[in-house]
Amino acid sequence: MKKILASWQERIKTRFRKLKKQARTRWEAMPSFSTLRIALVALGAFILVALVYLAQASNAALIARDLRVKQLKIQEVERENAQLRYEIAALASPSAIEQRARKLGLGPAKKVVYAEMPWIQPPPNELMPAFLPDTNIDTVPQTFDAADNTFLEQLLSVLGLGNLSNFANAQSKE
Amino acid sequence: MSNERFVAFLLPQHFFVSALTPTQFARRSYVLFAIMVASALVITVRLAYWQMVRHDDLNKLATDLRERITTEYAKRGDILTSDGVLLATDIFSYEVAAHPKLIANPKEQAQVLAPILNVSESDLVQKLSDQTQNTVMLTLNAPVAAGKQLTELRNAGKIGAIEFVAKPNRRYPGGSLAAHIVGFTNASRQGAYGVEQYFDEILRGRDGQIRAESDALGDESLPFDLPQGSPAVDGSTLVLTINSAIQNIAERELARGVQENGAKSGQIVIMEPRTGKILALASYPAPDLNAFATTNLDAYADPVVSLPYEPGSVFKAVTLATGLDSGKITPNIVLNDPGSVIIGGRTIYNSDRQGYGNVDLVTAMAKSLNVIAAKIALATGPKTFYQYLHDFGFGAVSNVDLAGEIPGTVKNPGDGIWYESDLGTNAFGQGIAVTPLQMTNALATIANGGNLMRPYIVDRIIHPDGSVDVRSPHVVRRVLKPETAAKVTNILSRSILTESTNKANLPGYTIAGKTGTAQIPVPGGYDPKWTIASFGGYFPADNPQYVILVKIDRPQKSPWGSQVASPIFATVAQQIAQLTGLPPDEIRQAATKQ
Repeated sequence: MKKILASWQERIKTRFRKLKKQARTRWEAMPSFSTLRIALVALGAFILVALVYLAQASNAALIARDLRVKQLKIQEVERENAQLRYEIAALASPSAIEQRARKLGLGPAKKVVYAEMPWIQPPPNELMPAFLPDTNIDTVPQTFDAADNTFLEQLLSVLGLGNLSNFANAQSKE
Repeated sequence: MSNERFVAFLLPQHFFVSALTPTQFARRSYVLFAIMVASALVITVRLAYWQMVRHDDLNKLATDLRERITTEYAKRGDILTSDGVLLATDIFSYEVAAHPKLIANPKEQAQVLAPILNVSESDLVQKLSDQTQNTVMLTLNAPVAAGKQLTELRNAGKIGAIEFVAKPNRRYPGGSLAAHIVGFTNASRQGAYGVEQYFDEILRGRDGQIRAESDALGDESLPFDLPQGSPAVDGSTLVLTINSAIQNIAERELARGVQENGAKSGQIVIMEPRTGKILALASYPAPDLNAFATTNLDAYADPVVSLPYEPGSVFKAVTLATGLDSGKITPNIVLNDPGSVIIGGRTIYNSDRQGYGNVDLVTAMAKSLNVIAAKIALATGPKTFYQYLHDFGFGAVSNVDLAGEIPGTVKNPGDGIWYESDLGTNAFGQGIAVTPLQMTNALATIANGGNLMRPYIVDRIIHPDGSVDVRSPHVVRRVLKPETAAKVTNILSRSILTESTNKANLPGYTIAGKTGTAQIPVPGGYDPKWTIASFGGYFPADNPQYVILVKIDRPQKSPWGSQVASPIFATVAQQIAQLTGLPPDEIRQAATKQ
């Protein structure tokens, strides 16, 4: 038994040594990377990434500049528009137009003649100015007559009482 | 690797020829190496200190150097008439400054800048040569075209050390058109008078704060980042109820009337009686809104709302309405006029000191009899009479949307300053102070059938986000019964036709109205010479569309309202009828009957 165990132990050790040797052989067969080479590769990768970032950042900056220049241009144009709008309004003000009209010999109409055309029957509201509110037109103004004084008021005045009698009294005192 | 090999790897071969032993050499190499490592460590620590510990401070310093916080000015809202005529708007001008110490050739710069800035070349040379100043202001109001030219010159490198900033300025294209309605903004862009003051918060908007990167001279087109911050919010736009053509008619005829009559000043108010909209509001003299810096500020106060006066006989229309509506008199009543009446111990006379015997109300209005007016007030009774005055809006502000409105003065029974004689004098518009707007609004109340409307001048407000607030007519209260208003209208229209001296006739149109010739109170009594001549009326009488009050102060040609104010009323009314296409009554009534 001891011999068997010993032989197995020996076999495992031999096998292990063989594997170790094989691993060393394979490792030595691989190309070797020196520290310098690794450092150079890393540096190269870093520079590449930096260049990409720089390109992106520059592009973004250029776009930002373009946008800003356009924003400033828009503001400039808006200011010019405001100036033009003001100048147009000044030229179009009623007093300015009236001055120019008078220089051309125009003036307010002295007489307006309304021509009746009974063969044309527009609806009543078309005769009203456009910007006036739509209203029902009372055609006949209210009138009043002596019937406004009620019978009672007349009676009281005869008797010297009521509102009317007060006036009559006032008149008689003066 | 052994120490000797390491050293051999680092150093050239001939360095091995040395008096030092390899051990000594190695030892000294280690010391040198340690010094280098220590130095690198110190540098690293300092770098860490500046870049990590002091990061925020230094970052802020760098940011402050290249970033500017500028104010983005909000555009103040425009003011327009109902027909779209621009009354007030913002334009831009440039403030231009220079840094003389950085300018190599002031004369050359001045030559380039003078025509652009509209400033004399010699002035510019003097300022640009001033080496004692870091910054000099070249102009505060360079036109907007100058900004574009300066930008181009700076980009081309033809000018240097010049800063320019755009600032908004308020401008009024119409000059003095609707001056008292609009008001103006002062140097700090705050509204003063008129709607500029009343709606200042709405018009102003909100300035923004922008952080933008720029160079030392303010050029913001740098390729770093877009500006950040809160943008400006522009103000809202006001659309007024006034019509520019009607306003122009009122101002023109008022100016002509004041000048022809040698008067001191005058006002015209035109209202739409059914809605309370103010269609025109003219005061003469009217200041130029663009010249506020050189104009006396008192000129901008609007007499229509802030200068009360004793209305005189125009007020008799109100007295008549109170008597009829209270039922104390009837339309067909005949009253006796002996030429004077004593009320509260005071004798009241007619203006011509004559008596006319028994007269009806039409004759009383046509001849403007003070005695009859006093009798009507007496019959109405003080409590009822002054209640009606209050209902008509006298003695209180109307809440019109204009700055500076004052309520006027109405004495009331029991207030300690009222006497019984005031009942008689107030009846014909003396001893009572009202504003032209209150008087017009009272006439409008009669014209529209008895409703006191709140007068207003802003029709709608358009906000920057596009939403619109529309202001609606507002009935304050019912003052008269509709039938009473109709009766008053009938009497007033017939009285105008009866009055022989009245010139408020408009052929083809029925007008209802009343003249007024009021004395002007002075300390101790009334001015013996000067008057306020006025006419208040509305047309067409059967369906009033316009109420017009004409008030002329201290006319020299004639003191009478019928001679001075009535013709102006007629001219204005005629032009409004033509402008709006309002046909004569006969044609209009015939058309509606069909």
